Amino acid sequence: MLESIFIWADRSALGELMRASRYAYPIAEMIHLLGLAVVLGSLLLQCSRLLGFGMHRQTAAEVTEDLGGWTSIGLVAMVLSGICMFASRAGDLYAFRRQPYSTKLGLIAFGVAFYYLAQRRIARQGANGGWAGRIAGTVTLAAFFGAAIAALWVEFL
Amino acid sequence: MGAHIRESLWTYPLLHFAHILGNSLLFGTILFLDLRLLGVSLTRRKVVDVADQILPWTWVGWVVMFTTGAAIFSADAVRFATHPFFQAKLALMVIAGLNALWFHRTIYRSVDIWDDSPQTPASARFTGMVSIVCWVAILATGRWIGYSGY
Repeated sequence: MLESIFIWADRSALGELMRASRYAYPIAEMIHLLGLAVVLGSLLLQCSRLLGFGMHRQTAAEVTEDLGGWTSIGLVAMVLSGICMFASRAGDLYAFRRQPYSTKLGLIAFGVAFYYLAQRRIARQGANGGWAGRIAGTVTLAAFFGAAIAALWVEFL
Repeated sequence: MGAHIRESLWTYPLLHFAHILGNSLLFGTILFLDLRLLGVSLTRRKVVDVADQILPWTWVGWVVMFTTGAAIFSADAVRFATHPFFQAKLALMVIAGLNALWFHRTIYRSVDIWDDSPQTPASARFTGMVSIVCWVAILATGRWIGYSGY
């Protein structure tokens, strides 16, 4: 199942298009890094409010309202550019980096699901540094930092 | 230090990782002050509140980016020093720094007058735009160093 997805992506028109251009991969990676910056900055500010060490002049709900949309924009940029990068080197990822790459995707999926299904709700319910907010902020930051470590593992394996 | 970074299996990847995180933290936080200045985001918040709460994170990102960047530079100083994209990146960082300095020394001193307003003065909007353009270009030129094959 997993193998067929990697092989399909590697042989897809998108994969061939990405490999045919010298500039496609670097441009996709730049968009990926811009998305990362937006996600990291907006999430850190939201989580710092929940953890009680930043953004004290607004409630957690206000910080989420101000920055939550930017987190979504950054994630969309990361996912779209990530799909392009994945398609261009899916064969290599499957053959040599399957485990760290799967770990990275798993942590991102968990972090995104937790952020939208739990953290934003907790923040909107007014958790200004309470235990629920602190746990939510810690879990979200840990998931995304773990994904970043896995990304390092993928690139430098 | 340069020789150690070149010879170690893990030091360079870890430095590179921290450099990207520092850069992302810097740009990902200052972006929201710039967007506030442009009247695009956080418009219900005071400019002073946004700056006071976000800029400490930006400085953390800057320190991480600068120290790891200096260490990476020391590993291959001659190649970096003569690399056109590295030179462009440094020039853009100087422009971004001067832009921030000019903002704090001039228009920000009168922030009490326009602090609450969603629409900021033209010079503040100009500063925000220059900052965003510079940091996107810094990220692009920095990444292109690895691809240019120079």
